[in-house]
Amino acid sequence: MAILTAENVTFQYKNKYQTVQAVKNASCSFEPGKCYAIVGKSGSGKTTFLSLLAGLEQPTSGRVIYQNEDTATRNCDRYRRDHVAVIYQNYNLFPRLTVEENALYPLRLKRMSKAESKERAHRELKAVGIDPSQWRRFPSQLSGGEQQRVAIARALAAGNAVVLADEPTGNLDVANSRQVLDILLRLAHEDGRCVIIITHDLEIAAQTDQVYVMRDGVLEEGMKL
Amino acid sequence: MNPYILKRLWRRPFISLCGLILAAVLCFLMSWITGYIQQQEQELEQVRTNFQILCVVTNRSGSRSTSLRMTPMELYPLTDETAPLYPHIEDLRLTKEFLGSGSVLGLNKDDILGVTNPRCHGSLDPAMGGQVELYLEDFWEREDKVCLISQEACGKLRAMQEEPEAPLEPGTTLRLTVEDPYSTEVTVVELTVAGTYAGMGNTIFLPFPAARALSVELSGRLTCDSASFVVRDNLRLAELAQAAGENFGPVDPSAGDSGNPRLALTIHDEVYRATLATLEQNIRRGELTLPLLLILCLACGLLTGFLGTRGEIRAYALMRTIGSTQLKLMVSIIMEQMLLPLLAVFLVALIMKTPVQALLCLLFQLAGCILPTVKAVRTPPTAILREQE
Repeated sequence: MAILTAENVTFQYKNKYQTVQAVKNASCSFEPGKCYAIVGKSGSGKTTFLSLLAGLEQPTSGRVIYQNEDTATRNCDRYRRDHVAVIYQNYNLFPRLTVEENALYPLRLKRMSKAESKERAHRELKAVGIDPSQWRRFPSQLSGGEQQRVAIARALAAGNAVVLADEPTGNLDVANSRQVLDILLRLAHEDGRCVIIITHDLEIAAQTDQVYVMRDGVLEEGMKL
Repeated sequence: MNPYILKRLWRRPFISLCGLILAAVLCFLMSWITGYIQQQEQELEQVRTNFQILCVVTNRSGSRSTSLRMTPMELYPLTDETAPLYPHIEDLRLTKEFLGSGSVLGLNKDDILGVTNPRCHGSLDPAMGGQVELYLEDFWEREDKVCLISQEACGKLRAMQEEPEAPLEPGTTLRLTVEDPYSTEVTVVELTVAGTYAGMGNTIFLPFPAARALSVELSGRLTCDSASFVVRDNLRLAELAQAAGENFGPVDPSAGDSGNPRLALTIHDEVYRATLATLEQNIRRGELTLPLLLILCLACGLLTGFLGTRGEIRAYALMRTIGSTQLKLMVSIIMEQMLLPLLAVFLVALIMKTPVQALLCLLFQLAGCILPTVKAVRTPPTAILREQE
């Protein structure tokens, strides 16, 4: 049963020169325990669609439904805090917080107890392969792969059911990309979360359970590669 | 509230210190200027109430304030309780001059002076270093023929005693021929020495009631040779000037000793007015500075706000995507901007004991940092997070 559904979602915005329809009548559904890929060229509307799924933007028309509730009627801040985790291409860690503090951040927002939040954060950091000796370091002291893994650990520590990853391997080398993908697939298949990966890398898309293709704002179900 | 506010402050020492120092300096300046204004106002009040403005009767040309030969009619505005000038007068000082000769002290003329109190003459005035030793407590009120002589003169009299080393015998008298300068009458008087004054002068001082009695005895009337007084209420100077104008003329250098009226009253209020003007100017300047300082506080809040949020826009956008609400974020940012200024202002308020000024300083800084905070929080997270992609 789908945990997250997009129904005829359209998103348009106005810039200085024109009105742009970034997403046109996109409809799809996502189930827990599966890993999805949305592929498409640059500027096709993938990231905008991901923003709509994450509740960062509201559709111009159509609905995004999470657990049978329209996100437009939800408190979007709480929706992102409690149900959705986002991983970015540029890692987007807090530069002035240590690795440990980055992983703890979403748990502190949820007002979890210190002991429990530390236990969870440490578990996820270890799960993504970040050694405890690195926990007191700042993001600038880590490699790209390590930073992305910390970002994943932060997303996992929150325990949110949906994980949205926007080009998570875009800035990584092959080895690190492999590692990150393995973690995401494990999340979906072993932890039962719904993982949605935005990517233009067809090799990555090939390893997921379902591929969608975005072309000029239109979402189509892709072939299984 | 978002977590790790203190850690973020600690890890941005330059901006944090800027905020702390600016807040402390501005709060200190506000407190100091407020204290300065209060001090000037207190001084102003003190000057208004306690400053002694001397008024001196002179001739019309203003060239002379002694040997005026003031008649009882001319004295009346100063001495009569029903006169309009009387309520403004405090510490009236009158003198009466006599010419004397024939004393064992070897007097020259013009050496006998009747005075109302010690402040009439520099030899007697404690404010000018004069020291008086009285043998009679009510000396200044006595009408009988008692006098003060100098310690040098006293020494001469003691030398003539049987026991020169002993103090002057009580009841020692001086026998003088006294002449009122404004009549042809002379008389021989015996003055009882009733006190001494420090110094070596030959002047003999009489209490004014005694001088008045002697003047009446010699010329049949009281004349007075100098008159001055201190203004009773500085706030009523205008009334005094008006009342004085009814009985005294203005100072006119071309008038000489003739003219009607013959006498002028000079109110020596220049120093008083200059002092008041200076104090009032200081107060005005201080009062002008305070709003400027408040504007500076506002600017300081703006500056630290912009400095503080400038490099953190991305972090704030990330906080929004993780689930922090706009309001929580705003509160956190404001707390970050204001925590150290709050500490600085609190310390300054504690030291300078100026809680109101500290609070104002803090409020204006807070108002200043709201704009950059709102600007930082309202920027859509997607726009920022997409920028670097």
